[in-house]
Amino acid sequence: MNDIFSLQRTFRILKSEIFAFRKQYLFYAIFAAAYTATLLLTQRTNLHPEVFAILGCILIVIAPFMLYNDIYHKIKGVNYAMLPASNFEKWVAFWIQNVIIIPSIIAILWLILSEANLLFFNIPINFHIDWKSAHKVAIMGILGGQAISMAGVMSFRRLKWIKTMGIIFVFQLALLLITRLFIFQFNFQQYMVQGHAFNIDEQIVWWMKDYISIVMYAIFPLGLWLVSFFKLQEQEM
Amino acid sequence: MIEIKDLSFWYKKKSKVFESLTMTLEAGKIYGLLGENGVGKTTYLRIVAGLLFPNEGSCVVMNSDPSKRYPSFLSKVFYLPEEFEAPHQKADEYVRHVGPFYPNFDYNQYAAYMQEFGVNGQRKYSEMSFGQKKKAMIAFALATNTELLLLDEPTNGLDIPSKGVFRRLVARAADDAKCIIISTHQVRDLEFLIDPIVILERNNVLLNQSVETITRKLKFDVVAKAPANALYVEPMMGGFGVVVPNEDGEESKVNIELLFNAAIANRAQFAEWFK
Repeated sequence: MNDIFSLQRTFRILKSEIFAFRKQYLFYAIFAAAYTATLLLTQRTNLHPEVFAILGCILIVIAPFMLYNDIYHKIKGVNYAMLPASNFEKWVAFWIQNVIIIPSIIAILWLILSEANLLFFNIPINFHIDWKSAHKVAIMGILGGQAISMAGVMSFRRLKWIKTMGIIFVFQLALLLITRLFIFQFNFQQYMVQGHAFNIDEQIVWWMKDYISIVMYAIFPLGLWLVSFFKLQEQEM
Repeated sequence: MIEIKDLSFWYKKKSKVFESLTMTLEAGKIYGLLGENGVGKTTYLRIVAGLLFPNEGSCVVMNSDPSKRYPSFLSKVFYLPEEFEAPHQKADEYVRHVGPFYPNFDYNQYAAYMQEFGVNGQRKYSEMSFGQKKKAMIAFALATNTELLLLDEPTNGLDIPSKGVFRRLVARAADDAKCIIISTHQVRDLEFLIDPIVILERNNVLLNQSVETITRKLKFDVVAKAPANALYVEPMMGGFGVVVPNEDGEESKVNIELLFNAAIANRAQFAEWFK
């Protein structure tokens, strides 16, 4: 028996979890559909895609809490922990549901919204994801936000939501301070080296920006996905 | 089957649940795990199941480290806790989804057990009483045919006829390859089922012996007048229930309640006798 990964077992977990979480999925679909319908009825003349996107983002970010909040509960978590599958397989099922299935549900609803808008009101919603524009940053931001939730769900036994929000708050505060310091430094666009002033080449600033982006993407979401896996492995109940 | 060596476990370091616990449990037996409230019976089962990790020492179950929670290990163990969260679905649906994870799971066996317990698998767990849920979970646990079955207070919440069915099914399910550990306070429910008997005390094991060894050393009797050498005396219908050293080699039937109370009252002596 392969103790690390079996595709068959992973599919079995997915199947059984999707069935077990069917009420939560139904809630997602109904809530998003109701929101979509409300938008169609109230804002059909000037429907901004972003309005729908905000709801989608919120649903995607809170998904791990909706589905896996009781994962380490002393009583409720036993069936999950004792299920004969590896921690990696359980984590893969967790990842697929949060990163693929939930966003897909939102995307399908978005398509339905666009089509319905076109069909009933003859108003097309021109919205295309542009990977070179701000959309890329927004999508990575959503994935990053969701990765924080995933790490939070897998890291804390109790009060997962509050503790995760607390960490986000502290992190945001730290980021704000660092950014302030950075802006303060580079507003002058110069360094003092051995008593001489040097102008900073704009190329360097852009290079640094790219470098920071790569580091940020490595942490959010990749690093936090890894954190969620290792936390799942070490939890007791 | 289970090799525990110098195992220490604590939730808070100042009050250890187990300290240098060493014990071996073998296949082919139905162990009765007894102990006062709070001595760590549930903790013990959770360590063996891999839900809790030892702080010191080792716990090896079927040549695996339970804390790794490998599928090859988990597919050979079923742990039924005293309190459990019944899934929000029909009993049969749950079993159809989870059963295939256990290589020796037999659906027909499960259906037969459900029938013996008189539980309808087409009902949702949420519509069942606590006792019915427990019966459905016991039926599933037995039908997984795992080598190690850990049952925490399985008869709690069962009605009188179901306790009989439980004893019958467990006795039928037991074979030379399986080890069944039943933690219980309801010793009368399982008096003729469990052998050996394990009594846990705070931090360690007070007794881990077969019924045969126990009756070779101790005699259980009901007498009109308590003898002077009695280890434990308890008034009961028809006189006094007593536990005395078995000096004449006469065999008697173990009264687990008396045994337990005698062990608690004579810890040092029991530790010496049953080393």
